[in-house]
Amino acid sequence: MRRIICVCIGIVCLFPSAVQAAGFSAWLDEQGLSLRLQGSFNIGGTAPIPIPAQIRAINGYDPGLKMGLEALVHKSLPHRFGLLSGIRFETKGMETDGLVKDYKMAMTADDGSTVRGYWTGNVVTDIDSSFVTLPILVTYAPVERLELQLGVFLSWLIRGSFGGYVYEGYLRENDPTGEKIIFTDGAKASYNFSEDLRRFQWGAEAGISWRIWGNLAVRAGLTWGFRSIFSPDFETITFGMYPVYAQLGFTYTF
Amino acid sequence: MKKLYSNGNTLLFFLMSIIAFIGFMSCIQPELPNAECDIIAAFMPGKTLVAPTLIENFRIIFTVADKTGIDALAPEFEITDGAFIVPASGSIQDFTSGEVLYTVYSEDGLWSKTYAVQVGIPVIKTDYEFETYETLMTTVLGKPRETYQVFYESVNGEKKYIWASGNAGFKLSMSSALPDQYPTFAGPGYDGTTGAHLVTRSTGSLGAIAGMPIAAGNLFTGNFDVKNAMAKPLEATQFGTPFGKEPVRLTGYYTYTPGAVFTDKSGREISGKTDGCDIYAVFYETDETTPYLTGVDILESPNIVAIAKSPAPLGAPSAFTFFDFPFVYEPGKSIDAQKLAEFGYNLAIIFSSSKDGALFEGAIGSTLVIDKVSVICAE
Repeated sequence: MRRIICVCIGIVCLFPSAVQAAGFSAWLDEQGLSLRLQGSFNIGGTAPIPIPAQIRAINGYDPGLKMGLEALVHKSLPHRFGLLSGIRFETKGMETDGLVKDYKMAMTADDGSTVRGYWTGNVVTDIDSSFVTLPILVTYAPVERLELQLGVFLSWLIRGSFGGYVYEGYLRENDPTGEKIIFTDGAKASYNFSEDLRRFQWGAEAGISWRIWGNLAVRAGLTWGFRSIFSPDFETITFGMYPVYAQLGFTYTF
Repeated sequence: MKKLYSNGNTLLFFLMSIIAFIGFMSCIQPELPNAECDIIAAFMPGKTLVAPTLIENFRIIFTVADKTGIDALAPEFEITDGAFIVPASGSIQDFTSGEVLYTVYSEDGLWSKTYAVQVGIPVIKTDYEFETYETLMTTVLGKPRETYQVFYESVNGEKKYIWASGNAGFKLSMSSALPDQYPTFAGPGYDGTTGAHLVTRSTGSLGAIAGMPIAAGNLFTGNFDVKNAMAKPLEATQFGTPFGKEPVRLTGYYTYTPGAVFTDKSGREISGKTDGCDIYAVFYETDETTPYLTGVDILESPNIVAIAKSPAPLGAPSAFTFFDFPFVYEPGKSIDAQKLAEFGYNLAIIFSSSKDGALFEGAIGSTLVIDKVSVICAE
């Protein structure tokens, strides 16, 4: 894992010097290619869509500091169109504190013992995932400084954690008619579904960038995952959870 | 220039956070109808109750002083919002057969739960043989499976569940346990009969996460309130049942084998410490504010009238050994005959395989076997 991360960072860091190499930029120009370095914050959530009725309120939300760093190649095509692709190393995640009612869940300990049931009360969820992502976007530049981008992204999970705890509420063991177990006065129960995360995710990506000064542009984007982050055989959470993140950052074109 | 951008990003970052938060909030859907179907409270107008009404998940027990008029009682129930109950709350029912079944249907129409509502008089038994027990069942993935055992007393052909244990709490952490893997179960007893086996168990990883690494085998007269097993474990053990006689001595037979390794609340070994068992009985006065004593105040309540316990720490006999402890009255305390006749006193008989088990300290494997317990009473 660590090695992949290092390689990704290495590629991104060596990128500018590679571009400066003698004769290389001339060759790029000839081919209609340009190289870009892009950095952004990922702000959003991994959430069931639509939000199920079991979720009654969000008491707290912390997007954390999740970022993406990418090296991209842009190929100009006729009629102001273009193609944009590359490699992105990114983290996505958030922490939420939600109030739920009759939320089906299970707590599994490392020795395999499990408590299943319906939880009514507070749930803290902490998601933190790292990906290597391949964006494939079509670009269109209606005016000189502006670029619109639309396409797909393919992500491979390098490391992911999905966990949290429940507090101030009660569990109905197995189903809503089961024994009621109250958690108050600081009683907590933690859960961890990190092992049930999918390795591959994909979805749509859109962006808009505005060149503000020289080669520097600001960019806002959106990535919308089309695949639930959990394996299909994971039944504890009854609804799919989809990563939807806004990207806010800058792009430098060489 | 660069600094300006990063400031811009920071500002945008916060703006986006707020937008995302509002986005989440605006997506909250209308609340679904309730799925639960509980009897939350139960009342018995027109009949004096001599013990707090026991409301379990599938059973409700009203304890009355006598059975006159129980062929036409109209109990009233408070149920989950939106649910309905059949037969209706406040309808007249005949409890002479021992119980009447009430079914509560949830507001969402998907769930229902049937309660056996019983009306009984206090159990005035004084000899406990531990010969009768039943094994509770559960359904796992659509298949019935045995869970833990519950001792009961047979009085005039009726089952009286005066004995409670922490088994229901243990089940939360070890849902796959078989009956004899629970802390409290029926096994070989004195003189070839059945006795009560109390074994201190590990509660596994789930128990450890909850800060309750062990579960002592316990058995007591009273009720185990599993609702509070996680949040307030000391209060989950509600000790004592109404007792209309004046106790003089607590007798019985026991064997004890302490477990090898004594551990503390964090599961850490305390070297050199040997586990010990507990056998005692507390006779106490009940009133409006103190319907029962719990693990918090069972040995400290001002309501205590008399305690029967071993004067010295109990040993570890490998063969059945007779115990006989007198009830020692607290200074200045005596029994009011009128109050005694009205079941104004409770007796709690308590056994534990680890005497500090309530604090989750003890040795896994400590085994206490109890049989032929008697409360000798004054005539």
